[in-house]
Formats: sequence, C-alpha cells, structure tokens
Amino acid sequence: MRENTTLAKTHPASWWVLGSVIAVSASLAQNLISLIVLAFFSLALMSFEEGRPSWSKSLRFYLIIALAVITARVAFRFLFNFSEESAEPLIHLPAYEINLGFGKPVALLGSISAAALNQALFEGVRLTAIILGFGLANTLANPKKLLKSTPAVLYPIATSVAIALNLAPQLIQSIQRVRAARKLRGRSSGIGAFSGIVIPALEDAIDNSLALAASMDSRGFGASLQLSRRSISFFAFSNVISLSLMCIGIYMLVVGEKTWILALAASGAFGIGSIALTSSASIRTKFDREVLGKSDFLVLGFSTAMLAFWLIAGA
Amino acid sequence: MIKIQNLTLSYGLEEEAVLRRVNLEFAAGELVLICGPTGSGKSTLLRAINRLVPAFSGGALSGEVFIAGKSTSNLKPHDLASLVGYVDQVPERSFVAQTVIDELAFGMEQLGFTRSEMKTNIERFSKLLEIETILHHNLMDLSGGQQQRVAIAAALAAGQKILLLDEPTSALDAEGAESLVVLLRKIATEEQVTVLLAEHRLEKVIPHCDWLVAVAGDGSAVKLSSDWNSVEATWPSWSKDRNSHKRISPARLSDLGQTSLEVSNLTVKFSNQVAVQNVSFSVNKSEIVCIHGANGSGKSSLLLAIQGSVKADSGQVLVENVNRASLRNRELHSKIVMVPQKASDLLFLSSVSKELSESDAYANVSPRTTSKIFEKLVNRVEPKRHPRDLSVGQQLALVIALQLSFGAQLVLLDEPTRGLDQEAKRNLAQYLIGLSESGVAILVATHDRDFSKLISDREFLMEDSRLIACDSLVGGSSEI
Repeated sequence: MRENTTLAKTHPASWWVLGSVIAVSASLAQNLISLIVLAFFSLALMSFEEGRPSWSKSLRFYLIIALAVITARVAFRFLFNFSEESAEPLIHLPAYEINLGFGKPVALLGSISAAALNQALFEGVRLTAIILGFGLANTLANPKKLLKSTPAVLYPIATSVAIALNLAPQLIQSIQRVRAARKLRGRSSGIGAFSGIVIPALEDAIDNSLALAASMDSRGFGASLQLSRRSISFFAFSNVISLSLMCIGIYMLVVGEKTWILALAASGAFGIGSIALTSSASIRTKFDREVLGKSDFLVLGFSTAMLAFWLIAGA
Repeated sequence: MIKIQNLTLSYGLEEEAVLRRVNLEFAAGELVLICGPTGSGKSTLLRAINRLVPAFSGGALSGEVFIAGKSTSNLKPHDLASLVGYVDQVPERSFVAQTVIDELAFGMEQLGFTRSEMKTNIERFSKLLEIETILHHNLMDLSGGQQQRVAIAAALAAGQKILLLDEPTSALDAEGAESLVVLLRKIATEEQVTVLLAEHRLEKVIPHCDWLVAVAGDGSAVKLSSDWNSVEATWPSWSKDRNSHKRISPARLSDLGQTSLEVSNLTVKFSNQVAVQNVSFSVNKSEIVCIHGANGSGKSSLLLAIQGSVKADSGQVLVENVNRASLRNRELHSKIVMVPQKASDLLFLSSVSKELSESDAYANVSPRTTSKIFEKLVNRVEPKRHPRDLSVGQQLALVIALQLSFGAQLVLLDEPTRGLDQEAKRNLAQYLIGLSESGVAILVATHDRDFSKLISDREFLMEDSRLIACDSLVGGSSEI
C-alpha cells in the first residue's frame, strides 16, 4: 500500500502514453500472434496492480470485457456471415433469409468458411488488444494524480474532466461493493442481477465522483486561470487547426497516402504548442517539483520504440 | 464575516423550497452548530456559503450571501477557495492526493503560493491539528479521526477565515468527537476563524458553541443561543432525558442463556495482513451485543467472517449449534443475515411495496410477511415511494425487514447509526430492542457509544484485530 513502489512513482501521463501506443500498435498489427502478445502484455502489467488501492482493482473487469468482445465478434460472424461463395465451407448451419420488403433479402446463418471465421476472431482480438491498452492506462494511472497536471487552459472544463476521469475506476469499485452487498441479501450477482447491481453502483459512483470534483473546486482547482481574452481566442483558433490537421492525417492514413505521419505530427505540435503557450498564464505553483523518474524514461522509451517498430513494420 | 440575506433554494417549481428566506449573520471567531433532522437542509445551507450549492447541486438560488462584506452571487466555489475551507462528510472520498503532505499543499498550489510559504503553512497547521508525525503517511492508511484532521488542516492551510464542516464527527467515537470539537473551538478563538459545523451529535458540541442554527425542515433556519433549551423548544422529542436507560422486559430475560451464536478462535487474514486474530465469544438469544473499536480494528471483517462473505482462515462459527460452514445460500440466509454500512446498496426496485412483495416471493413466504416486519419497525411509509427517497433511518428499517423475511434469528449490523439524527437513532434503538424481545440475537459494530449504551446488553472492544475487553452490563442490577 506504500506509495514508493516503482509503479506508483511513475507519472500517470507515462501510462497513458504507453496505453495509447499499445492501442495504436494493435490497430497496425497484421497477425494474430502479435495481437495476442500485446493483449497479454497489457494484462501482465495490470496484474502488478492487484492488491493496490481499490481504484485499480480492475483487472478482472477488463478480462471480462475482453472475452465478451471476442465472443460477440465471433457470434456476429455466425449470424451475419459474408463467406465468399468460392471458399471451402467449414461449418454448415441452416441458412435463413429475411425479406425486408426492399432490396435484397438479408441472409442469416448459413455456411461459414474457415477464412471468414479466422477474420472474425482476428478482429475480435484486435479490438480486445485496443481496449486492454486503454484499460492498462486507466488501471495504472491514478486519475487524481493526472488531474493535478491538467494544463491550465483546460481548467474551464476541468471539473467535467475530473468527474469523467474518475468515473470508470470509481464505477468498478462501486460495482464490487454492491455485488458484495447483494450476496448479503442472499442473491446471485450474476448476469440476471444486472439492474440490481448497476443502479446502486451508478448512483454511488456518480456521488463519489461529484464529491471529489466538489472538493477540488472548493479548494481552488480552476481558480488559477487568468487568461486574457486574446489568449483564449488564440487557443480556440489553434485547436481548430490542430483538429483539422488530425482529420486530414487520418484520412491520408486510410486512403494510403504515405505522408499521413506529417499531418498527424503537425496536428500534435499545434495542440501541444498552444497548451504550452497558454499555460504560462497559470498562477498555479508546485510544492513537489514533479520530475520524470527512471521508471518514466523506461516506460516512455519503451513506448517510443514500440511505436517506431510498428510504424516500420507497417510500412 | 458571513451575512446571509433572504436565501431561498428550491429544486424545480412544484417542489417545496429546501431553504426559504433565510437570514443569518456570523462574526469572525464564532463557532456555530447547525442542527436539524436528517434531510432538513443543513448540508445545503453549509454548501450555499461557498457556492457548492448551486454549482454542484443545481436548483434555483435567490437571495445573497456576503463574505467579508462582498456579495458571492456571481462566484464559483474556486473563486472563494482562498476565503472558505470546506470539509466533506466523508473526507476519504474528497482527498485529492496520496500522502498527507501533498493533500495539505494542494489548495495552496492552486492559489499560487510559493514553496516557502507552503512549507511554513504546512508546518503551522500540521502542528495545530496534531498531524505533524504523519505528514508522509498514505491518506488511506489513516484512521477516521486522523483523516478528519488532515481534511481540516487542508481546508485551512491557505489561511482561510471560514471553515465549513459537514458532520465531522459521524465516523468518530465519543472521545474522538469531543476532542475534535475542543480543537475546533481553539481554531475559532485563536485563529479568528468562523467555524460552521452541521452535526447530529449535539450533547458534546452544544457547550462549546457560540450559536446554534436550527434548520427545522420546513425551509426555515433560525439562529438561537447554544443550549439544550433551544433544541427542546424546536424539537420537543429530542429531549436529553429520553436518552436514559432502556428497560429489559421479563420476556427477553427468559431467553438469555440460550446460545444463538458461538464464535471460537476465529482468524481472518487478507493477503499479508491479519484482520481478525483468534477471536472467541458468544451471543445469546434475545441479546444485543455491541462491538466498539477504531476504524480498521477489524470489526467489519469480523462480522463478514461470521456471516460467511469473508473466508475465515481458522476457527469455527456455530449458529444455533450448527456449523456455519455447512450452511449454503438459503439455509445460511434463514439463520443469519447482515446489514452492511451502506444499507441502500441492497435496494434495487422502484418502490417500497415492490421491494416488500419481491422479498416475500423470494423467501417463499406468505404475502405481506415482510411488510408486517417492516411495519413493526417504522411508522407507516407510503408504499409507492421510491426506496431512495426514504430517509436513511427508513431505508435501514426496510433493509432489516427484507433481510429478516427468511426468518433469521441472528442479525449483524455494521455501523447502523451513520447519518441518523437523534430521533431516528432513538427509533432504531427502539426497534432493535423490540426485535430482540421477539427472540432475535443482534450483533452491532459501532463507533457510537451513546447508541450502544441505549441498546446493548454487553459491549466488546476490538483493537488491532483482537477482541480485548468485554464489559457485561447484564449483571448490573440498576439496568434490569
């Protein structure tokens, strides 16, 4: 429970960088093995956090989500299968056609080829690996610590961000408590108990997140922004440019334009630059200077290497 | 220092106003007790002073609050942070940092203090609140009393001149509560801070306060002198005398002697920590036993291990001479039930009547069995009401009734008095005594010594995961 473990010392932003890189890698990966490796890598890191404060006991929940995603993806393939006529069918199911009254009838079930099934499994695992990447960030990064480093220019929305960032970990914690309470009432805590668990847990999670946000606000969080009208409009303007560049970059990536990386880099530079410029207006001070430690450099270095590897492998 | 003028707050049009045309004024250095029944608007009044109401509650606020002569009408809570410190009812959920020192620094960081100013203030306020030895501890490892002190220091560290506290003693035992109030008095007088606290526990607080604000529940809030006469004039049923000893009826006494629960050598460990160590005791039929102890002393773990949700590492629990380990689901539930700290966790349907009839159906008993238990516990409650709209006391009674529908003869309650006002507490005491008279054995884990005195036949103390003291009241002649 001590705070001086390596994991707890690492800056939350480092974990978010790593999580995002894993998600990007998963979307670039071209084979099942690398996706499975990425997924297990996230799970392994998350498992280090077991036994830590309750906001991070979320491994099991992400595991359940991961399995549910894969199952759903494969099940949908059985239901709506688009196996090519020429492919060798693997499983035969009775086909069923629904006539919607317009266009072609919709075919359900039917014969499924091994290739189609493979692809469904591959896409399910890919989605899982992406979810686990963000799950890793959500589990390892303490949302409260991350909020403390929120750039000043984001303060006007900081309260909403505080509530939003804290809600997922808080919800997981609340669900655990309500499930335990349900057992005390002699009830199951399985799937059938959904509404009985979700309603009290949501109420609890929202209450707690609001209490945290109220506490931060009443202690001055958000007070330190003293921006001139000019810097606010500058920030808004550069944000529009940054987001536009991001859209262009993504479009270029999708259509296979080679220079997409330049557009995305420019977008990032604009975003970070405007935040950095406007944040100098903050009156906020730091008691403990937050320096990036060894573990941060390890995590960030590893993330950079991983991203570079996938970009090169992708090219 | 604080001037409240014609303050009115309502949520929606058709609803009654929570506060109506409230006018109050307090000077620097005054200690003010805000009291009133659960849900009467104490917290709302408190939070309207630093604008958390309406910023975090919604609702329409009219009238004005002046702080140090300035109107706060167009301000947000963070604009008032340098003047007003606020301590939430549950400090644990309002902590922003991991360690005590970071928590103290947080407010000053936001307000742009230099490092040396922060150091000076942290030193000064940690000394004042006697937390200088735990500055580098993790907040979650602290006791409830320590957390409360840290939260107060954090709310004052930037030199705030107004301190608002929402039920600061609700998680403290009697001694902890009293020493906190003495400390608040000292802060008010020595630092010239205006301290406003909303509280249910009145006896210990009233003598130290300058004023008492009675929030009656009909929208009014009136400043009165701080003594029991003011309280009794507003709420005659809260009379101090009614906290006198209970009577044990002869019917109950005849049941004493038959063992309902026997715990022997119970030990519970969580990964690397012993929560309950070698605990042995027994509870008789019709008996009410209270277990005291600080936060983290193992009370809740002990109850959960007896109930079976937490696995014991060694030892044995006999319920009516049957080994608890051999009981499963329904069998277990028909012998022993537990009501957790947040009773409303167990409620999930949209009306009281639905909860009651679902419980009958689930327990497979004749219709209205559960509602009969419920009616014995509280006065009539509109069956169409949503369980979440009931008062904390009514929710507790509902959960107890639902839990008893299986006919269990042993009830475990974890901190049942949290958030209950004087009257609700007394009602709870009455229905627990009534329940025990019908033969049910009751085991209560509580901080609340006053409540325990009202109901218990025997009291235990838990410290560092051991049951260390046993104080039998049954032998005393005056009690019977």
